Amino acid sequence: MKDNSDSSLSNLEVYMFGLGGKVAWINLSNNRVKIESTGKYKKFIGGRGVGSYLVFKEVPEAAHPLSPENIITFNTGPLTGTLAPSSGRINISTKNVATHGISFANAGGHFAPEMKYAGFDHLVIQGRAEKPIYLFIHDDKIEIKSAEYLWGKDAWETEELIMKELTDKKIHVAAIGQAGENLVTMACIMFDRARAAGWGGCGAVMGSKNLKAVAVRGKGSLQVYDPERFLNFTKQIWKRLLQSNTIQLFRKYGNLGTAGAGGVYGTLAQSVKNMEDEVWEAEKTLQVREIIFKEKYEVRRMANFACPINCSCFYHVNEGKFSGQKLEALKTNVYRAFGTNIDLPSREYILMANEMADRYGMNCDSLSAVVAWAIDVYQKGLIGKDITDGLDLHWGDGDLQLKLFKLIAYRKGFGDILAQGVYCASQIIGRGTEKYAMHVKGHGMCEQAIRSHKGWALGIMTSTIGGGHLAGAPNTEQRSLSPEEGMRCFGVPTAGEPKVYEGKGKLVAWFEKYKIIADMAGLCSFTTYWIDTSLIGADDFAKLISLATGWKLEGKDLLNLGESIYNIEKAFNTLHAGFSRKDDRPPYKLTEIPVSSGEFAGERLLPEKWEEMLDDYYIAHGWDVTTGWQTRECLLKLGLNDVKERLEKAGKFPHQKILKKQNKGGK
Amino acid sequence: MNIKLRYCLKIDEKKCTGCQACVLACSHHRSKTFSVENTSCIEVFRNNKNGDIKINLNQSCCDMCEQEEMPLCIQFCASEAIKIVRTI
Repeated sequence: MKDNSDSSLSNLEVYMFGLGGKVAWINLSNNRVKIESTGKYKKFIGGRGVGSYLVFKEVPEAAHPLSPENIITFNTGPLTGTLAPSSGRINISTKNVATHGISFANAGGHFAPEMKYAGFDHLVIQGRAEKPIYLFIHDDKIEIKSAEYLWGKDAWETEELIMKELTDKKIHVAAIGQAGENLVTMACIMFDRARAAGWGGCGAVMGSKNLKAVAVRGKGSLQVYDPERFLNFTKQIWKRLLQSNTIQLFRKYGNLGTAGAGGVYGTLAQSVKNMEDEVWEAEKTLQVREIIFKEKYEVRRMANFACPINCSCFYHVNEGKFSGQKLEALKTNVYRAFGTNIDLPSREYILMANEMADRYGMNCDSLSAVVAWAIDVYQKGLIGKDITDGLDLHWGDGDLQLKLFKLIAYRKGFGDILAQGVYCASQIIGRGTEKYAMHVKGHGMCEQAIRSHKGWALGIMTSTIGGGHLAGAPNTEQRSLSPEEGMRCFGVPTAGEPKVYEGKGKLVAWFEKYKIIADMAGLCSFTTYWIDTSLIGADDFAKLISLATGWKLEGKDLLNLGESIYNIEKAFNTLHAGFSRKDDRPPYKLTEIPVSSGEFAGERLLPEKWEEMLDDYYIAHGWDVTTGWQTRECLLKLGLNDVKERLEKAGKFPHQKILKKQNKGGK
Repeated sequence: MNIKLRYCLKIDEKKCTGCQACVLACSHHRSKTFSVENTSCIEVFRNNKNGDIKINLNQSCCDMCEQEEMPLCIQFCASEAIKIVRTI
């Protein structure tokens, strides 16, 4: 039992505490598999840390996300598969199909631990297979198998057929549906049927590689460095989780605990009608309250691996048009995406939209963004039936929503335009529809409370993956964190005040580096500081990872590493997508159309205040406020010399931009 | 007194969420490793299609975690699906 982190791998002796031990590089163009020791990437801990680093290092700037030159990584962390709470998360990193910057996505379920028990911490998939294939990873082996019989099947059918072929009930499957095959921008990867790695079109990247699925089965075991202390500390963490008020509401109502009128945060703002407003009429909210889903349909919880929170519900629907439906479903995002944002207060249609998005394999946020936008601009009279192929687009039309999903997944007619995502679709159609496209850096969005909660909005806009609230958007505003607690945890007394801009730049920059720790370690965000400051903080993560691996880490080391990874992602975006300060600004609706009523009536994102908040944010990261780019000093301080060289070569440092401008002027 | 003679575990499949923490806890107790295969007295089968969960509990290998104040699987079962029952 030794740590081979610095040795070559000629003898493949790769056992390491807390880890599977191996990284598999699978080139689908020539069917070659190369195995490395995970120790080579110890510096980046695991999960998103390793994924972002590899995408930065391996993907050339000229590579299209759907070309064989792009890679897609499946990453676990050092806590994956252990008794640390909710240790079933998998990270997917790749070049983002929607933004052409970086992408990471994260899904729960039981796939990631199984992959680690099979001996692999990371998979790096390169190239493009000649014909449809799937990968079977099992006990130190990697098989490339034909998926021709699976092509055209949805994600759920694919899982069933693979389990049947491999005759093992304990296999876990990551699959794409028709949307991934047809290179739909919103295509995601479905794990264990119901768990989506949603962001960045990662399902389309798999489709572009002719990779239909990855199946895993591992009969191995993980030995942590200090089993007794690890167990005792894990017990303490579980106790803290079960005592948290926030967690208790998730346990009671499921993931929807944050959504409706009786949710964690009281009457929470929503994204309504293509994010035109954040208040949904009470009579509509009441029809789709979390308590009704619970009482009418919930038969049990289906938890993520080793998860005490159990926020995922299993429903049997025994009424209405879709009676007989059985599914694990309904995250808060899905409720918003297929309910409030489409103005559809129908339990049965929301659940069926959930199922069909899972089956086709499409991300709910970006799918909702394009569907709601289409209805919105049709209702505003900017497009007509000439564009929609004769479809009459109305709010609150459940059948229409399902029809559009199908047209998008198969890229038929009007669906072919929508399949490119809300940003591209609005650019193609024009006619003034562009300003109603709700996107961040080209990636569709569907977010709540974004006008009223300024730090939340900033974290979504600056996210390296093009929106999403899981990069740096702080949850502290929703929880009205006290000034004392805000000071203690983040040095920001306004952390709990939604309407206040001051201090939020610093707060978001802190969460951006902190959130990476959970994504590197392999735990769910719900177990962390992000959801409740009584839960797992940076020091707790350091202790857990150290006890699992034997590495000597402190919380501040992890926060510094988080800052480094965020800088690697940021540099990737500057190099590949050319993003700068202008790309960190909110779209038209959020700055010009205020919240209509309620506690946050009149709230919008004021452009002047936004710019001040952005300045604070860049300063907190040590970046240049004029361009929003990184500085040499900041990168050197983090020891990211290679990143600095790449940016230098590309002329992506602030003074270089000024020089370029001057030269241009001189000519 | 050997408590194994008088008590055993009972798992309520309806309450179970299929998270497998009990499997890991048992694996840790028996082998000081984390695994869901072979090293545990408990085996969980999840059916993602219809939401069924089936559990195999091998009572003969269970020593009720004699050194612990409570069997570890119970300590890590957040849904309180595992309980101790008396036998003759």
